[in-house]
Amino acid sequence: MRPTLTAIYEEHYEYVWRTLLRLGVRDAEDAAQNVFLVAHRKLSTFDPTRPIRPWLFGIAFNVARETRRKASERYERAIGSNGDSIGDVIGDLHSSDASRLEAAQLVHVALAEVEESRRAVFVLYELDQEPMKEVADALGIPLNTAYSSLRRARQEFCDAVERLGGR
Amino acid sequence: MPKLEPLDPKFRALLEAERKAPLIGMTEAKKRGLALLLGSVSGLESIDVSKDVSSDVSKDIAKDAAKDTAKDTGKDAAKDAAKDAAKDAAKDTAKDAAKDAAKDTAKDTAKDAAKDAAKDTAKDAAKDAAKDAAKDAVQVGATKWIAVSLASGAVGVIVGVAVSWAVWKPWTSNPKPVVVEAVVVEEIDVLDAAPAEDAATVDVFVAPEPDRPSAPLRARPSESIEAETNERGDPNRPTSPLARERALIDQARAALRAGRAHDALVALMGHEREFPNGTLAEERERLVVEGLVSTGRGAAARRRAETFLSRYPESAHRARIETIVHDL
Repeated sequence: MRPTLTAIYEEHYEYVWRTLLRLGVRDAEDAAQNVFLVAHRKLSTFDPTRPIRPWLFGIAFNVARETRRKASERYERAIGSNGDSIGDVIGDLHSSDASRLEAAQLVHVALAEVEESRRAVFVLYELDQEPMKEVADALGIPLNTAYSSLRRARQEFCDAVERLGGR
Repeated sequence: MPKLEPLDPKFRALLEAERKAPLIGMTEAKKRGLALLLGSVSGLESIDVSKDVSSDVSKDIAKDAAKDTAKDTGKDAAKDAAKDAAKDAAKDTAKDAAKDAAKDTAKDTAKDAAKDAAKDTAKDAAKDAAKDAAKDAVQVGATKWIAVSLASGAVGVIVGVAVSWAVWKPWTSNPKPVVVEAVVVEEIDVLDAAPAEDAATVDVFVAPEPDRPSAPLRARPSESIEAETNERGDPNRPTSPLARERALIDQARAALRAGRAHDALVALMGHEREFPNGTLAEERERLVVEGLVSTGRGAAARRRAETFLSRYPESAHRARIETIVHDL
């Protein structure tokens, strides 16, 4: 059975939202709406025997690319120019949430430095923890290419984290 | 199968933290989004979407919707909001400029047309419109409405489609109203300004504010996706960046009042992250200082306050912040 739009929405909204943040979208709410609009239109092409998240990821990836052009500049300016972020200031409150938010912020900024298609591989594999086979299928690339992309993405990501003064 | 070495533990920990990070605003967005989505979906179907490329489809639909909405809002604005001042000015000033603007790409020229037209009428009309609008909201949102009413009224009534669309769009997607400087009821921080040529992208699905109850402009449900969507969706959905800013700030203030200072700071961090120089940045800073004091971090509060006061010496929050810090 093919899931309904509402069912997909209920179950995967959070995933879509998180994915959009990872892909550099700042206005996740509107982008998420667009993801589900596209999902609705493409639902008939979805193979219900396949996992749905990589499929949603593919849609989110395209939506993110559309919206990112403007947003990424804003975001970099935000991160780059504002000096002490609240995160810096409240970091030693020992709140797990606050430190995770900080971590997420760092991860997202670093991800922005990973080339777009490699970032997709990285996010699917390292953050969504999809098997490499799924990653390759979802992105329509050969398995070997997925592996080599991941290696390069890791390098780019880790370099970016180091450069950004991560922990 | 190619061999993959494990990721360095420190990066693994970082990614693990990211996976568990709270998603600020997500739950609320999810709640208000479903009705909106289902509304949009039926709206989409009625419009005959046959193309396969999502962005193109969205673009086209959004353009149409925007055109329709702009057409209507322009008409309504002229009748309801800007009234006589706008009409007169529209006849005299806006007519020629706006016609030309419509012929051309409209996007760039519309800004100028709107500015010129609004400058003349803004002073008088702002007084009248502000009186009414101010009753509903002292917030900047009202300012935007006035500004846009004037712009739409002066220009849209004559030119309709193209010009109103161009004026309307940059405003809905960015807190940079083209005409606000001529009206200035309250200062609007100009940032996040995206070029107008980016107007027709998927994020046009940001529903315009016409669904606000206090708004003088109203899109007609039958005329646009946005309107249709909003009719079915939550009429209070914060669609504009400013409304989302407001939601985060309100959330923080409520948390502070309830004694959950840390929650407040987390919300404020979300605001800082998304709207570092947002319209409500000054309010945020004041709440951050309060939050830091409440969590026993006086020194950090003092530093934060000093930075803030040096950056915004004229801030309306200055007195309050000084009091807080002085009491430390």
